Amino acid sequence: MIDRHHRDIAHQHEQSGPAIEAAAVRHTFGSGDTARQVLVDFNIEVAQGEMVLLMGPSGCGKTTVLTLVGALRSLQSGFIRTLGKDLREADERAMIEVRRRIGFIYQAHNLHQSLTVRENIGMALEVHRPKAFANEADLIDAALDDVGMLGWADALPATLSGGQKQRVAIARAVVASPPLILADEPTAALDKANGRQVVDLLHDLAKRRGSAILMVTHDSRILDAADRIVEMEDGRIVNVETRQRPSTKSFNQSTVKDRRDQQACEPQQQK
Amino acid sequence: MGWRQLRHSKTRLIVALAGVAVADVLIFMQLGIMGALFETAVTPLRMFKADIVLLSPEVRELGQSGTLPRRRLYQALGVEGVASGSVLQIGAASFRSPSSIRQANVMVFGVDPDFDGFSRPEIASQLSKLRVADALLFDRLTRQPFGAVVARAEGGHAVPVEVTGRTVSIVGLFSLGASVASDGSAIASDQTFLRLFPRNSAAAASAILLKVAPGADAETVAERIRRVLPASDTKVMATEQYADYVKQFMQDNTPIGFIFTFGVIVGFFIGFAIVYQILSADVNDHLPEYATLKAMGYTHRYLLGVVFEEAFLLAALGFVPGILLSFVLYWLLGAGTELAIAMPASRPVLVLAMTLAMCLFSGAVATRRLKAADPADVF
Repeated sequence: MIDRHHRDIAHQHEQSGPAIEAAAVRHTFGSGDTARQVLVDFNIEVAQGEMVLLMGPSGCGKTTVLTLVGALRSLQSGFIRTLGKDLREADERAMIEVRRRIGFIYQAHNLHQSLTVRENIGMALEVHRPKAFANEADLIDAALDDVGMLGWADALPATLSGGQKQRVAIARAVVASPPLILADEPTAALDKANGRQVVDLLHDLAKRRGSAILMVTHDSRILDAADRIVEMEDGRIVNVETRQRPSTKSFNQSTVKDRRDQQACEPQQQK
Repeated sequence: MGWRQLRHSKTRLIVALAGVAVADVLIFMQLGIMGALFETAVTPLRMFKADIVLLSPEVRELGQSGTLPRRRLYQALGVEGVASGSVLQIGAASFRSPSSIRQANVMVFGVDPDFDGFSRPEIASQLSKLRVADALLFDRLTRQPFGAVVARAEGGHAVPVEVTGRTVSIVGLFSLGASVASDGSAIASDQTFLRLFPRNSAAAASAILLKVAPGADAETVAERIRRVLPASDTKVMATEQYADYVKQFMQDNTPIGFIFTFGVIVGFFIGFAIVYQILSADVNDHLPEYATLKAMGYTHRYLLGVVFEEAFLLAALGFVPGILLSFVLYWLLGAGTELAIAMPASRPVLVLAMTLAMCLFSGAVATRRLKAADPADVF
């Protein structure tokens, strides 16, 4: 039942266009003398089922990309379409609707301390009410099983280790089989083995369920799991490396180097 | 989720409930003592079995009742449903004990000694003693310095006291108690009353007490009387209505009402401050989690609902120990002061409504911090 549900979702994801389309995005924090532009003509496209790593030094704009693409922050300039929704003119209600279709994984797990593991994950399903999932308990069990936490369903977060909490947070992000997952350093708090397990899980989600994954990371141990690695610096994409055959293109026309990298990596998908 | 969050931090929950309970006790005590004090102002009315009271339109309280024509009694007796009636004279006088230079302000009631309108057998059985000129029945619970006078009267002696420069005799005792308006009460015949208060006229009455016929509805009869008697000099009220009127007058026109109402407001704001601190700290502690919920697609309204749920639960759960403790304190205070501190059914409803308002108001202020839960800050 669960597998069929996930297959259906994967099929549905494949039918739609790119999960993320962003072009000429600019973003500035502050104003006047203190204004700081963190994104400069940023472009990216992430297809369904694709896992893209976003890397670069701190302050280069990676997290801002996640917040803009995730409809957590209003777009100032440029174009972003997330899961088919144009965010340029999206009001608060529309942005909330987009967020509901995204699985977020944060560096800090942010689990509700008063809720059990099962209830924390259930919150990700409850937000979809009144379109409640008929098999809510099964979905939660399956998500917990995927992250190896099925035996901890009734535990409170305070009784879990940091790695376990992060795995629960991941289960919460994936339980509704979102077509897009945005992750910020999901392996930062994990040791090598657990980090590997989490990345494999996300990779599996991308391939098995057709979810698009955009992950900010500094963890060089997980590069092999990515379909594409996008490096940023000073608000721009400075390098794109395709590790496997991509299902869609990623490009940035702001630098010659980017175009050269894309031509080298994705010749068949050049515009 | 609100309940789960409250329950998760047990110490904070206990402190919050204690805070709400203390605020409720404060409010209950202020209302209880104020109500008891105002009740003493109308305690003399409870001596009478009247269903309807006719008063001057200038009436303010028992001691300031004004006068209305005595003939209104006879007109009222002709109204269908009125069974009997009597004139009541009311005046305040300074009583001086022969053993002391100190004086007491005593409320004197002048009645027909044949009046069958006293609810207390202790008084009704002694009314015949008032047929003697300058004889009084005296309230043994009158504030000092009348201890020696009462002790002698208890021994069956007629005890002389000086009232407004005239010597009268206490020929019997009854128990009523002091009030906010007077140190005690005395009952005289209408003839003695007019001697003590020579400015009063026999043609005028402070009040007229009426009893309705068995089975008759007092309000219906009162309405009939209103149609007969001129409103220009007669106000027609049911006895309880008159008592409420006096109490309301005391509340509006004496410092007592202001002081205790202020106390109620202080209790309200103490509760507000405690609940606000608890809810605000709770919201602050959960900001990252609230921001995460917003990122997941939960609306701001949902988060408001969580905080208001917590506020509602604190109000409901804190009210229970608050009212239970108040019952105990009412009993203790009543036993210690002889104040009749009652808990009318309307008071718990009022305090519960105030508690809900207090907690929801606190919650509303605390939710301002929710705006700080920016989902973009979660990353």
